[in-house]
Amino acid sequence: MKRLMIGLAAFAAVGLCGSPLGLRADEPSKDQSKRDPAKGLSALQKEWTDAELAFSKAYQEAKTDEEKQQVLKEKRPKAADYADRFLKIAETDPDSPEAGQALSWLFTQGRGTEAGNKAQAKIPMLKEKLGAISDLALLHKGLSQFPAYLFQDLAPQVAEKAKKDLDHPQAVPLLIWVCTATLYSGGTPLAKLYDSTIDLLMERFPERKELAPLVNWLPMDQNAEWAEKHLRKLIEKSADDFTKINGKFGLATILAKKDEASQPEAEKLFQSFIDGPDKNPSFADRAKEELAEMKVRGIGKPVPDITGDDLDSKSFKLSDYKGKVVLLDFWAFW
Amino acid sequence: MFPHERSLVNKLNGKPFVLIGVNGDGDPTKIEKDLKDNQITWRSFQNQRKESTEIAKEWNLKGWPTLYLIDHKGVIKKKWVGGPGNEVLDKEVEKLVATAEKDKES
Repeated sequence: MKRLMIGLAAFAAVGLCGSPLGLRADEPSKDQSKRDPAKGLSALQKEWTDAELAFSKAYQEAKTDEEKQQVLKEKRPKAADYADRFLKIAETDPDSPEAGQALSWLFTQGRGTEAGNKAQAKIPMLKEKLGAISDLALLHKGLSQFPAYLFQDLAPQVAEKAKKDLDHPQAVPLLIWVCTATLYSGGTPLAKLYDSTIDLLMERFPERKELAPLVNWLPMDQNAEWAEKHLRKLIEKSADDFTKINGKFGLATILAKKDEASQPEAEKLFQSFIDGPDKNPSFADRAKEELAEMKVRGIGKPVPDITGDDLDSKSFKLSDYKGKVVLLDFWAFW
Repeated sequence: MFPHERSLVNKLNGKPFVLIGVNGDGDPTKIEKDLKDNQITWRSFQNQRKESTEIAKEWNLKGWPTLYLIDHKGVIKKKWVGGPGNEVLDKEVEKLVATAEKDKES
């Protein structure tokens, strides 16, 4: 079996994983998780999810606010009670897939705990390890075990590696990883990489199933024109039916916000989920909501009035400003 | 976003344009300092209302910020969920302001 991360020896030798030198997984040990880390990890994961389930069940069953507070205080699983054990698995055999999964837990659920901080401290080292992998399949396997945004700075070099070997079966998944890692990088240099990677994927591989996440990302892109162009192409070219239908819904939401001329097409698209060729129960309810919204607050419709208090508690109306162009801005400091 | 909104309000001072907020922070006395520090000069509704449902709820808001651009005749012309980029926002606002001024002259 191929190892997940190469260069274990160097990793352990510098002692960054916290294991005493020479202590290897194959040495006899009393610790169950050491003899079989997979078993140890899945048992621990089960323990955590069971605790979470018990908590959410108890919370839902609590009737009063007081009871809810009580459940929150008593039953909410505390990451700190589990984090040390996850860290132990991560450090026992840092080269194993289980170690990656344990770290991933520490990066997310275990964030802020002492063990979580120790795991965070390993990130620069992990970046170095992952950055050194040249085999695309191994690189993808290594990267995909962690939340992508944590390894955002690797995105440029990962994109380079994938672009050099675009015919490799893992090239497209890696480029999708690059997009996932840079998705929320607006305003930074990485945002350009996100855009150019999407452009490349859409130019070369619009039919590929791996492009499915694009239909969730594009409708919320600031550059609606660019998103519209790519969504139209995805709908036309994708070999995946769900991508096509999900893409149509996304396109409809973009068009509904765009301008008056686009309203009929948006309406037609939404309608097709209800009783047209794309009839689909999982989209129909949302389509109905969108259509209802378009009738009341759609582009080209007279704005419904608002009456309320301003921040000095003086009552006023939106219609007080008729005759002026109004930018109505739902905002907050939080 | 505030610095840009502020500059937009200043730039269009004296023109037929107004920025109206719907503020989602809750108790306005708790944001007095933030309002001052960020030089928020435009008028905002409090999202929470005593007599009726929250404005954001009534408007089926999908996320904050959300912006609606309304022309001088009271017709909705654009909608952005999550906020547009500054350039796009300026371009669309200025287009409508120019139309409003032209209408006023004729």
